[in-house]
Amino acid sequence: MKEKVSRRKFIYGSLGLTLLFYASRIKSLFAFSGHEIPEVAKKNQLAFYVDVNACVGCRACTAVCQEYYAIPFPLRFRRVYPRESKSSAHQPLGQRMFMSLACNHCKQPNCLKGCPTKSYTKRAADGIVVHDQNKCIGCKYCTWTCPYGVPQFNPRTHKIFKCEFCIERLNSGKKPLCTSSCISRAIDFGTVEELENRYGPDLSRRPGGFLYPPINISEPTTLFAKLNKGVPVLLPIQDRAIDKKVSL
Amino acid sequence: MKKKRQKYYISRRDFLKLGAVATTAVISKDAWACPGKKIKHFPARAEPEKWVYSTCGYCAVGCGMLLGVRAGKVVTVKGDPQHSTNRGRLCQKGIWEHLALHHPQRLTRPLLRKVNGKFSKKGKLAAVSWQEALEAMRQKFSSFSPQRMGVLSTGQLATEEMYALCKLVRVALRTPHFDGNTTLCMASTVVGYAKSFGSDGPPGCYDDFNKTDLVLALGSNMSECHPLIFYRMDQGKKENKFFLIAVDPRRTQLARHADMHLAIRPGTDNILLYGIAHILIRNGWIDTDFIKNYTNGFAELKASLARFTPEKVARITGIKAAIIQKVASRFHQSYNVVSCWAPALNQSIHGVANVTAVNNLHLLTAKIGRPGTAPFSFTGQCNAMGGRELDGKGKTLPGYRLLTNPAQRKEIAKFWQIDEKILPQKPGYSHTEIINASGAGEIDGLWVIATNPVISLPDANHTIQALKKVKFLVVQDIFPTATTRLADLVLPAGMWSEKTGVMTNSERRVNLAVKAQEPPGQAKSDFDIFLLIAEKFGYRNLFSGWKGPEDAFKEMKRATTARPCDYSGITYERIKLFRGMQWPVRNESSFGTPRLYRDFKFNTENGRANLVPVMDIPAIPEPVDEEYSFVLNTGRLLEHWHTSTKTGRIIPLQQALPHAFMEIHPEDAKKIGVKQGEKVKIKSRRGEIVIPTRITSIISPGTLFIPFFDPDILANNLTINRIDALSKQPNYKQCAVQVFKI
Repeated sequence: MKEKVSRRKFIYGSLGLTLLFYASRIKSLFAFSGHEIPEVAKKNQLAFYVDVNACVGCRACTAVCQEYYAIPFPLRFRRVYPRESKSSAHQPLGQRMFMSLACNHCKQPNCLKGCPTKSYTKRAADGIVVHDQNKCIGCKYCTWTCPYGVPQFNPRTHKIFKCEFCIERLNSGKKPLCTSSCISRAIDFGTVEELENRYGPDLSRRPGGFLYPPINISEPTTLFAKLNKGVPVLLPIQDRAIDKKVSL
Repeated sequence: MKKKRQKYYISRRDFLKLGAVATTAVISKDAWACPGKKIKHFPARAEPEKWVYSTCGYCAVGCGMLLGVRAGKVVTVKGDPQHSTNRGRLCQKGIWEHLALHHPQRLTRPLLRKVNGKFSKKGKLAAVSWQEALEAMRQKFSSFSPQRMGVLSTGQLATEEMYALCKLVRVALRTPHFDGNTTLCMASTVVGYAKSFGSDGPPGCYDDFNKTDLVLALGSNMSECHPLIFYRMDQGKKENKFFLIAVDPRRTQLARHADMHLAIRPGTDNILLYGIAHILIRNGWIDTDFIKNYTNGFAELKASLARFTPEKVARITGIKAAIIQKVASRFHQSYNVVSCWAPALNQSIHGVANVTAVNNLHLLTAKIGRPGTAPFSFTGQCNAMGGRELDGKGKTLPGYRLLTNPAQRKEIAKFWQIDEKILPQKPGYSHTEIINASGAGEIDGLWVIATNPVISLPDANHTIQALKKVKFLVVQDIFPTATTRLADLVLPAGMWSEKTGVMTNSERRVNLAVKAQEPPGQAKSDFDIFLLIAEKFGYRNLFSGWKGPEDAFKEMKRATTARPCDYSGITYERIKLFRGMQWPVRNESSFGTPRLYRDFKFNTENGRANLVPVMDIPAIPEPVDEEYSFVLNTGRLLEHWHTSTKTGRIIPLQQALPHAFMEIHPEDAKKIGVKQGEKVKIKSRRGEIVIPTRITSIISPGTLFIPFFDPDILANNLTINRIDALSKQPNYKQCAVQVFKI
């Protein structure tokens, strides 16, 4: 009765089991394994609201955030994307419109999925996607996986940083800085449910008239006001010199 | 070879062992990824030690600010959440305002042009002591006749400093040629208000936007040039749902937000306003009782307006007659109307005509004195209003007094305890006239304070030539500018937040900016410089008992008592408590006056407002022709403040807008054959510049727009040196140019 499992067989066996374990989770294996993305209910998920009709492109949102977080120029958490319509024979004057965009705090954050060190966490309580400066190794994978160019490499710390919904302000009962600094009430925030109640049926998950990556990639939570009627086709322009680096 | 390979040989067993260990490590990675450890978020900047009460030092919106101070230096700013104007918000310029304070290019020592240790026009600017600098200034200035001297002041100083300067110039230097750069932005409004209502002072306040039914915005690019007024206007529009009419040749963001945008032909605003008045009178949409009881000159106005039929107005302004009818009927139907305008309406040879035409509309329909209705001008500089009240330049004396009025001149002479004959009997040259006189060799000594005429005045080449002819040019500023380059003596000044003083905003709100740090190096606050100069000239007794700005403020209060701009009830403490007070504040129990003329008592001789008849001025100072076929419009953009002395040195603003560009309509660009970003040459009868193009559909065909901030691409090389006959304000907004492809 020599049923003894040899050392070698034991090792083979455990190796095989491990492989089987990972093969069963092959999808997550490709996404660097083991990222748990909590399902956040509408009444908890915090989101930004952006009204492109109202925005005047003053970029106070950008600047106030840059100043508050001492972000090295010309990087910025919130960016403003300018567009302009063409003139036509019967309508010689066109119009210029702007969209302000920060992190979308997606339901399926691609930054989180692309991170090899699990620096990102989607908080179950409010759906904010936060980034851990301790775990980040500055590999920049997330800057490639995010369709909105939100995570950016900070040359001072050699790590990634991104908009975290001003959570330390939220904790102390204050609003995110960009929403409280907007001069034309173009930016607001709240839970998805709150925003839907506040702005009613005029909400859209895509900004009309502006280029925006397909929302099924990462399911962004940002909500947009519907574009006013009669706005002509808008084309991207370079309104300020820093707009050159706009990748969206 | 074999030996070597053996050295690195790993047995099958070792490999498997290692593999197993690695796998275990991977599986249990979560175990040592510190799940319990807190996430380290990207930190916000450190909180400063204390917040100091202040007011923004750029434009006349007068945003309340808090300066964050650490180790005696201003390290950050934030909007004052308690302030009624901006409610914690700031524009980009304000958010970065503290960066200018610590810029390495700040002037820190007086500079004098010297050869071999002695002053010489041919020498180079060398650092000298204050003693030597002021001695040179005294020697030179006392050798010139007062009639051959000039002082160019500014709207950037605190009111206390302006008042001190006024005393110094009127009593010590005694030159009549004393004017400010405020002439470049608001002079037409000053004259226009005075003509209609008997004295200067915008009758309305920002709160009117929350109570009005119609806003008629004329030549105002609010969202870029007065962003926080746009905020108040937008708030009002969202809550109050008023109708907004924007009159502007460009489709600015305000025009885009408007319910009706009139893309008017440049320089024809007065014709449009006369046209509206014509329709109001013709249709009987006027308040005859009000006109009878509270105004003068209705008959003359009516007669002079007869020729402005809608058809004729439509032909001149390029706006359809039916639309002008609609605007007039809106004006009639709306109980409350705010007509607002920015320097665009003033910077024209018909500046005064424009302003009086707006006032006429309000007086004809009795839309004045109530909450939510006013002819309301947006001032340009942070303290242009304070200057209008108390700096006594040009033809004025402190407290809205006139130099030409013997009784008021006597009042001031008595108040200052001086001989009345010391004060000039009639006003000297205005800002542009001083430069013209310098060019003609009539000015020997010129003192330029916190302004940069080389960039800000029309026809820059002419300005440079004129300043070169001045025998002794003193420039007092915070940074080296195009003007300090021509100076013989440069005095380094302290800037906003390096001194205490009050400033008055567009809605007559007197607010305080408190000193939060020391000026760099040997630089001194303008207040201290004026006192030093007074001492040097032997007039320190003029300022006896003055230790700091608050002593000056106390004297100012007495100078304004019982005047339209009454400061009597204002103290620094009350300003801080109420976040600024709107004059007149007659006594210490008053909370200020948000709106003027509530009782329809105007400051004219008979207490009635004047309906000013049509002023006949040609439509455009320089009409387009075949040779010069474009109308050039110059102006400001959001990131840069006037001549970009400060903003040009602030990195984020400069990164956003590093140089000027020319806006041109796509059709015009096609005709000339230029592409986006290509450089073109623009030529006028005065000069030429090379500038990159920006093809944009927000500008009307046939017109060009160039921001004037850029010292390297000087828009004012092109502009015409013509001024409004009454207000002496230059015509920046329209001149004929031609574009050439390079």
